[in-house]
Amino acid sequence: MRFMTTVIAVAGLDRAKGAYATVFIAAFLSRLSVVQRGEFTPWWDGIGWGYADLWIGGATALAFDGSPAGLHFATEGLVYVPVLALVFKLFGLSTGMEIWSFVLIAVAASVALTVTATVHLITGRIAGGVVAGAFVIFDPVLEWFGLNGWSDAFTFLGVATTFLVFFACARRPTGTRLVLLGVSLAFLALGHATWTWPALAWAILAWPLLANRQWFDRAEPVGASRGRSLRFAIPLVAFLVCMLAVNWYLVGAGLTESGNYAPVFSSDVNNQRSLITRLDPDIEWDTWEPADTIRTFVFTVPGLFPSLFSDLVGQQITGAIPFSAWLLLVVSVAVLILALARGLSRLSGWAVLGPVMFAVLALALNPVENAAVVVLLAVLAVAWVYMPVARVILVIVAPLALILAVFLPVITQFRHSNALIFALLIITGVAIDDALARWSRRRPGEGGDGAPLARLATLATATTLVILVGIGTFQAVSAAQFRLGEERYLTWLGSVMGPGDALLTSGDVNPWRVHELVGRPVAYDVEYGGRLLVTGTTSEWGTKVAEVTEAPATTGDVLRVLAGDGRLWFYRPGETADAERFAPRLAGENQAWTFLSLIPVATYPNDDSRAALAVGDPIETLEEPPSVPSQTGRG
Amino acid sequence: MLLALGAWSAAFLEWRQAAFPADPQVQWSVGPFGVGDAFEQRVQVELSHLSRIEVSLRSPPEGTADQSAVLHFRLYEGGMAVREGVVEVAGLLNSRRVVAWSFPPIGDSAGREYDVQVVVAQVSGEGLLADTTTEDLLPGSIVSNGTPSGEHIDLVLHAYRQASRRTIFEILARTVPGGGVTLGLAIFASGAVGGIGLLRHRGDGALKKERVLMAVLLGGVAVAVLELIPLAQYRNIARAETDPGLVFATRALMLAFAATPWVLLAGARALGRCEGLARTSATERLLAVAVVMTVAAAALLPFTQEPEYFQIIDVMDEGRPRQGRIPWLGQNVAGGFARVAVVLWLVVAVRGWIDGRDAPQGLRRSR
Repeated sequence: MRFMTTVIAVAGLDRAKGAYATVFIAAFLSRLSVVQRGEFTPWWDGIGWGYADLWIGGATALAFDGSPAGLHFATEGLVYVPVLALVFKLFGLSTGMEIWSFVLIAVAASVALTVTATVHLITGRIAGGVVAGAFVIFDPVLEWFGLNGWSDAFTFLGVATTFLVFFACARRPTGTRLVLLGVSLAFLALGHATWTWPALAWAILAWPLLANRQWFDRAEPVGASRGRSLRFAIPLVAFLVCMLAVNWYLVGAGLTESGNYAPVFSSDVNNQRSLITRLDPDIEWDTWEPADTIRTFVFTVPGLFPSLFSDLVGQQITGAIPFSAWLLLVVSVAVLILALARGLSRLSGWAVLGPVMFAVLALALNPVENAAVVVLLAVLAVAWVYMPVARVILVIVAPLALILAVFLPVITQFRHSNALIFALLIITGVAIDDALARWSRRRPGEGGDGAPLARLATLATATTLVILVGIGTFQAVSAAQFRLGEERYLTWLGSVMGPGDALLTSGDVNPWRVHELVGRPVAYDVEYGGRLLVTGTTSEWGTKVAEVTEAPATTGDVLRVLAGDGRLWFYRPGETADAERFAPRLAGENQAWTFLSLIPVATYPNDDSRAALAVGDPIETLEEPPSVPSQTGRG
Repeated sequence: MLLALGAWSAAFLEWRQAAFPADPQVQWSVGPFGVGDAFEQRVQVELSHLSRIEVSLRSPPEGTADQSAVLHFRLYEGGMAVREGVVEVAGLLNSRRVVAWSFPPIGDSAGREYDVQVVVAQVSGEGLLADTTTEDLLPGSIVSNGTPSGEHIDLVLHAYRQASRRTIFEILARTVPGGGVTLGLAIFASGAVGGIGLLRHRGDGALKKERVLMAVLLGGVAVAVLELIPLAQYRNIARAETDPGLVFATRALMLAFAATPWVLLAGARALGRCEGLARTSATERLLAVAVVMTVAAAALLPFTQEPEYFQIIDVMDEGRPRQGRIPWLGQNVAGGFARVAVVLWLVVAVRGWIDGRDAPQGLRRSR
């Protein structure tokens, strides 16, 4: 073990910076592989919703036309669109998109790095942070919405950054950090309407929590800043200043509905209408008033809350974390070690409040439903009692959890609730670190370099880091090989195609790169609307394939114009010669889906299972197109 | 605390469980029904002790506000009336109004078909409308004044087992050989064994007869009251008496109460710590039990959680996160342990808080 410890020390894996770098590299490689395989890219969401067009269109309008229309707050691009527009302005559309995919990869990797750093900041140790970082790396929702061109990528970053800055303030509340906390909260609130009120609540809560930092073990005394000082209202003031400044800009620039002078605080009005009319069928959409929301929350929501909470946690928290049951087992052991270490020590009234709430919820839940929800409540009850940091984290995310639970029947989706998973992972990391520290203290080692358990923990942490990088490297290399293979195929396909031909592609490709390789017009994402026609002459997003002909037109009309005197071909990454058909939808979502045959024309010399697929005749028509999966996974 | 929770459960314990899984929703209304008119609907009841019927009524749009009516409810089985009652309805408007008729439980209603008939004995204004649905969830169709409607049109009707504490005991007694006697004996025996075990924690000396009697009595009462907690939790679950979760929870509570003191005693003897055990407070023992319960719940979860609770995420391979699940047992076991654990942690926290209040200097943790 001594040899291994030496190797780890030389590699720097037992130090914070080494662990940070390794987690970031592992996350970067893992996310890079996803983009390389084309599973999610800034222009492809993995399903075919095509919502990314909203922000891409807004950014191109801002970059190339100077139009700020994409900055409308309700479209949740207020933070995302300007940065994307800057990249477009600097590099153009196609190169800018490539660069943007790397920006999103870096942003997604930063989320993993940030959770590791946050846990390290709280505990002063590495192991728990690495565990939390590993769960972030393998979080399917972060991978999905962090890379698919939705503005939620920045919300994830905002959540991670705000937690980090908040605990940095808890450690040492300097003026700069306090201002940064307010700005970070505003970044969250302006980036996504879900966060408007939870961010405000956090800014308000930060005042008493930072003024009275007994809950934070590693708090450093900062002279006059201790105690109940107005100084700790700085985050709230900074938050409000940012919000009001942006509000002032939006109103001044006319980027809001007429008569609405508080756009950044009123984007959820229709969500409220939708929720209240659903919870109380006697309230009509048109006659809804804000008082109806209050009345429904007071009289209807409390009775529904246990089942809504159970659904939220069961569907989108424990049901969405890979190996969540095992994670709960690890956290429960960690918090129980802390509980046994403290035993029956005296507790404050705040420590009792959590178990009261969790017990009421646990007893109110349907007893034959998801056991993971109750187990999580039991674990959180212990964490609340014996981990003051966990208590603070739970208080901070409580407003968000409340909103998400109540809005579950209407709009709450995985990408919204992921912030709760993030908070849970921080608690997990802290519990693991604290438990290891308690255990080490109880079993002092004999060597000069710490307890055997501490060395074992270091070894396990370093091993985890090596495995993470190993997995990331393997994924990235495999993805690079896949991409290179596809590029070779496309080059060959270009040589098979005739001079007047055009290529239709699926959504999981890079249309500009495909165009570069085949040297023919590329109709991109033909199965979900034909979202872009790349001819080499246009530089803007939003030139729909259907625009080659005059509306109204059918998919068949568009295809005929596209083909002209040449032939149409179809490309989907990895598609074999066995593919018999595909269903283009280029002119209107409500039209019948017609499947066209695919004809293998020439066998690919490097792989005889693949062929150049030419588009043939219609073979089947569905009157109703199949529905696109929901964002929530709830059907 | 647990006893208080049990007492609270006892005070409000009442089961109201749906008699069939169908949950018809209002889509249309039929009528108006005037004095002497009747409508009926057939239902298939899946549980015993049927005792409540609910129909959904309203006044016609052109009716006067605040209408009233007197309704005769009858329940037929094979053409023979088995229950009958009168319900007065006041303040009927042109919006949905659920009218409930409760009657003495029919003990052997499980698996039987009944016809629910509603006769309008009196009604003010323009008569009343009965809400219907085309979901076709109930057998047959609504019958208006003897005329059946389309096969897919049903009266919006819900039926329940509304059971008081005594009826719940009867229902549970049917699930064990020997009935109520066995149930009572089991509760008494587990309470007695646990009570004597707790008495033994105080030392190995001879036990006084009156203390043993008191321990047996209090143990029996404690188990009976504790059993009310899961019974209250399952108040809305159809056929709760046969649900594996309730069966496990009630049996496990008895076993845990009876065995835990003796297991602790045996452990203390094996480790030579009987004196230490005798000195431990009730809260310390609760802490130990809370730890064991939490570990049991968390350790069982990966082996029990059912796959439908791993959410489908559309873009993932196979749609669900990999959970490493090992399906050995039903998940209610883990859920039951966790539920008890949460309550125990609450008790432990409250005791810690009370201790903190007694010692003001210790309210905050020193750093």
